[in-house]
Amino acid sequence: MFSDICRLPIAASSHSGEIFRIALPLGLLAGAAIVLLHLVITRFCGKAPQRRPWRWWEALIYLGTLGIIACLGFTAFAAVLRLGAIGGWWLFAHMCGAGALVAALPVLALMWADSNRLQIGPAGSGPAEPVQFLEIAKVAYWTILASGLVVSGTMIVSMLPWLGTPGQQLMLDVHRYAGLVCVVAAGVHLYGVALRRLSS
Amino acid sequence: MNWRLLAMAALLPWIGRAAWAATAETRFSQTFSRSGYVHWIELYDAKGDMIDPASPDAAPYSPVHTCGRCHDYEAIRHGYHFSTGQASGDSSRRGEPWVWTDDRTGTQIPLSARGWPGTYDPAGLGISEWDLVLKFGRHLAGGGPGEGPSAAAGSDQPAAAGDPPAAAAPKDPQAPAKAGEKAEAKTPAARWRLSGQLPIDCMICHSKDRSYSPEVWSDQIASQNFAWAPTAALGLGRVEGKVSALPDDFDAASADAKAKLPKTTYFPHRVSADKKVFFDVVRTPDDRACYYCHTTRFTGAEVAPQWTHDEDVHLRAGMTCSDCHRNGIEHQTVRGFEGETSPSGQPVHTLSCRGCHVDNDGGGRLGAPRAVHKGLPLVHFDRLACTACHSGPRPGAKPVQILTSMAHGLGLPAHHYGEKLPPAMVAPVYLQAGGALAPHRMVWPAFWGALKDGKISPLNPDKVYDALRRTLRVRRGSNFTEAVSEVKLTAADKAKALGQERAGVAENELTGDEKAKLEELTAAMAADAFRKKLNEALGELKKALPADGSEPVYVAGGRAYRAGADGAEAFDHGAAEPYAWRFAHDVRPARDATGAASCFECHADDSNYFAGVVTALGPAPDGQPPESTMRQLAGYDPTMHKAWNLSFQGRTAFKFFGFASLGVLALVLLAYGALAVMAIARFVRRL
Repeated sequence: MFSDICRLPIAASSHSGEIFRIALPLGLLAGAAIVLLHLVITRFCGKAPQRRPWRWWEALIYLGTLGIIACLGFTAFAAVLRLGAIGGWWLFAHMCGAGALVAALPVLALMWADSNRLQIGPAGSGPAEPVQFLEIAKVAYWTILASGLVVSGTMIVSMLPWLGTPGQQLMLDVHRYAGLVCVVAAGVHLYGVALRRLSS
Repeated sequence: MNWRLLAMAALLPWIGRAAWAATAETRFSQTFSRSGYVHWIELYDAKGDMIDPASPDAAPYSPVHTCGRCHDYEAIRHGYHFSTGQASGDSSRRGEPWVWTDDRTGTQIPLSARGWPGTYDPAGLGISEWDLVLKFGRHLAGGGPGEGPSAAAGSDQPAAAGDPPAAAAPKDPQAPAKAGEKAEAKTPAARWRLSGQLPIDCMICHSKDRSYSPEVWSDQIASQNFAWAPTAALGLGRVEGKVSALPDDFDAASADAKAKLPKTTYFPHRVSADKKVFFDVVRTPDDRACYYCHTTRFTGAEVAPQWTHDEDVHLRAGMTCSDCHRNGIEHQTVRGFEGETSPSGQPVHTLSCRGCHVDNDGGGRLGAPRAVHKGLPLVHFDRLACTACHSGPRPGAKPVQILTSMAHGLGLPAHHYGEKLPPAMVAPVYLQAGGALAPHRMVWPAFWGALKDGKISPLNPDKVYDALRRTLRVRRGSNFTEAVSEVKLTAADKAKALGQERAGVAENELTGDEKAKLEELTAAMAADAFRKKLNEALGELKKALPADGSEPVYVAGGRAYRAGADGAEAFDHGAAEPYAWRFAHDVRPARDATGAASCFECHADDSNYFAGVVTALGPAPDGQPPESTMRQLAGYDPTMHKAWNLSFQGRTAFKFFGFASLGVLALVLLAYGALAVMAIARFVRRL
């Protein structure tokens, strides 16, 4: 029994592509579940703090990054779900989007990091001044950055003559799941922003 | 008491099976020792009678009855190498076909009975086993068509065991005619009766001491001494006389028949006192035996000399062909491609490149190193066969012409080996096969055929020759191409090309430009002459076709031709498409693999892997033969290729930019992570 469990990762590694095809819709469903759960909770919570208005460049960077992540998610997931693997024009579009993401992520990090600092302390001890994001959006933001770092890093490392085939396979697997997390986090963040605008 | 009877009754089938199994195991002698058996053995003739080598009337030895006493000939004869020309059902992957060439009619037809798309079944073209053996016997290991017409009819029983090869043939067909026997009618069966069968000659592959002579084997077949070929080729004795010299109505019963039939004289030094002969047998054939039929040579002015080429990396590492291309007694030799299923039922995945060098389950056989492929994106493993980067020479701007043993008879001494020797084949051509790019060899079919209902069917080459020899008038020592494109420039022609003043100048005094102009004019006139001559021949061929609406056509060099008002007209047809088959050798080592030095070997607009131009070759003189880039032949989207190549231009810069970007991102995460840790620490302290 124990040895069977131990062998599971090895078996999984040789079928990682197939496993990801199963994990992909589950991951997207999990994202939807998080949103739904948060929506239910916020109905019974107190009113959100006052909203700080966005500056135009903040909106531009936000929408741009969101669009890039959506494009990357679509080219990857649609190809995987429809064709089993990404290739051809799908892969080319994914590569182009990847370049844009590599450029957008540090800008997003530098521009938004401060307004996404999480409030640590007992409830009600937070700042009275207007804030830009809900807590769920802040968590999603840091998740986007962290997963974005992994998503970009794994592929850039793969472009160098450092790793052999098993290493490349590992990088691809990590890239896939980090990409899924990034897309889900972006969705949650979008929900957070939308909720904030609707509720204030 | 009853229960004992019942138990015995229940066990009877098992006992019977066990007894049968035991019988099956002991039917053929075996030693089961890795040392191998020392083959001092008696010789048996085609009738299964023991031969007295000292007898002046000694018959040639028969491998069927000599080797077959201890080895299962019936199982062996269905092996991959012995099913040539016969429907074997092996349509798994295309391989090199036999190419029927006839220099007199400009014919080169890829033949195979294996059902490979693009080849033609010899039987469908009226090419008999007799024809196949005479044409290709030089590189056949015997068996298959060599067993005569009965084998082709689908009989499970080996013709060598005593079935007549043809309806007219009496008694044992494998046995050659002996003096005193009545001659048969003037049919191929009558000639089979004289020649005997061409059995599988085990020693063509399993001879260890390299005394076996394929040249003698070939000569004996050319002389129609089929049954004598194994004896002569192994050097067991001398064979005098030729069946080919005997007329079809040769009367073996006549008084002087004995003197005219081939005679076997065994060399005394090969025979022991107890009338046994030593066969120096090796279980797994030597590479040289394989190379006799599987050599490929590059030819042409642009090809580097042979000594500059490297050997296959596996052979250099001490391996042999049969280390991967294995078989059991059933001789279903493993071809070694991915996804192959062996008729033996044994899994053979680990004998493929990927199975041995890449995959985890069972790879690494014979010390095969694990492929590292550092920095190679995984998508390459889906889009490329291993051979795309590791096999054959790197492509030039055009693929080079090749000669092969099977098509061009390499291995036999001759003076005519060169790029003009038909059939014209080229390599490497990169095509997609099963979604992956792989190197191929390619040949364009050339034949005379009948077009009916949109389908072109080749005609029997010999019948075509009979119908067209007066029209084509191909002289001895010449060939179809020369005969149909023969032109002589008149003074008026030269004046038209060079001007009146230079037209009379001697050829050696002409400038390079002038010579080029004359060559161009000659080529144009030759093409014109060809169209006219072809029109004439097609008109003649129409008389030989049945009046069922069939239209005579000629297919060559990637085009089909039909009769027209002012010379033959070319048109496109699927029958003119080239036949291509994948190859895997010679394998280049990792450091010499394509892409090992740079991604730009492939990912560049001018990469020969995609931009290389493949020009159709064939016996038809064609000033503008069909040309395609390898990208077109492989079916890739040129826009996408260009886009990818463009993306590679900034790849190095992107890597630097990517690392810088990741650095900033990581610093931000680290900085705010540190702030978070400090905030948590403060919060904890306040509690």
